[in-house]
Amino acid sequence: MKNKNSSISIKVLVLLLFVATSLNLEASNLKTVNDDSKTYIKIWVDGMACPFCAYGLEKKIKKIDSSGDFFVEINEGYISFSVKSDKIPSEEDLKKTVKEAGFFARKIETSDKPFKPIINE
Amino acid sequence: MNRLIISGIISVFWVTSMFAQGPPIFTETPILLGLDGGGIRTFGRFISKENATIYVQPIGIPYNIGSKTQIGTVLRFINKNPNGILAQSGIGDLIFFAKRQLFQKDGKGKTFRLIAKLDQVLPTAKTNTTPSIGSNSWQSQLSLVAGYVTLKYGLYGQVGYNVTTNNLPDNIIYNLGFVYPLLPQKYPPNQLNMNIGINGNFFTDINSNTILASGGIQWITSKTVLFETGLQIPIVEEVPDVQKTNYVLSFGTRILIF
Repeated sequence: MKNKNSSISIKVLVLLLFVATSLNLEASNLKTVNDDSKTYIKIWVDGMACPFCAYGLEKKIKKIDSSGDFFVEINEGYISFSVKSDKIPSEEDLKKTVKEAGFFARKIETSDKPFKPIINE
Repeated sequence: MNRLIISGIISVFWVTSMFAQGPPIFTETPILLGLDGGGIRTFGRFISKENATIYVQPIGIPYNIGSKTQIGTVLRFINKNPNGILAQSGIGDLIFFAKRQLFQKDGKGKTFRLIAKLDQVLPTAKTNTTPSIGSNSWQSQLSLVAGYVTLKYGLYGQVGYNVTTNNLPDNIIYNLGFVYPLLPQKYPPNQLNMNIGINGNFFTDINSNTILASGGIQWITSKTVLFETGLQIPIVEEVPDVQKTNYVLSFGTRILIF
């Protein structure tokens, strides 16, 4: 009887270990997914008065580490792009980048969802 | 023949206006954007005069130093074909230029900017032919360029003074340009722009004034390629009839490479 109880205890222990290991793996996977997730940045840019001029800004933004999904809404006066969530530039750096391209960053927003459906990416 | 040299002086400064980084075609722009590096630009000009035809084909290489300063150089191939005399061709005087932004005020979809621009012409071209390809004159021009640009239109102005040597007349330049986009603005660009304006030259030493009315069209095909063409006709030209300009036909491309 004692041996039977002991055997059951071992089985329960093994089961718990298996569940715990699985949960841990699941958590690790989630962490990996989070590391690869994107943050979307929207910058309201003053002075963007001609589409031809915005190309310099695009080139500057594309130099930002992990940036992608870039687009310009010239008539609305903003640009948007994505970066890896663990590589979000500071607001100060973003303003500096826009200034170096010859424009003025009036307002910066971030989101975990795209600001606009991206069609041509 | 002196008139051909003066035409050369005028063409130097019309040619340097090709460094506008977008509209307008015949007036300088104060917007130092769109390059952020280097590109190659061409802006061929066919000048029909009563006593000659002149063709100028420049290649310009501008370079941005930061967002407020630009330097560059212009190489030009020139062909002068006077009536009754053998045509002459060659590389024209070398031009260096520098632009520095002095003022910038931005808003949503609009900007006002003011720059100072210095053009320096070096008399490097040959002058031992008739007509001469080079001006044989050091020329320095300092000008102010202002522009108010919105998504709906662009208004540009330039005024400058050109100092010359070797008994060539100094001149004041004054240009006005208006640009109107014919298609909705979008990015990447695919745009047609209508350009109208005037281009004036007043030669101070001889009290001679020339004003050309300008019209043209630009086709911006992508982020990096632009085609443009335009026609200029004189509306004021205080020169002897035989030296008068019939028209100036221009065509060119601007291609950003880097």
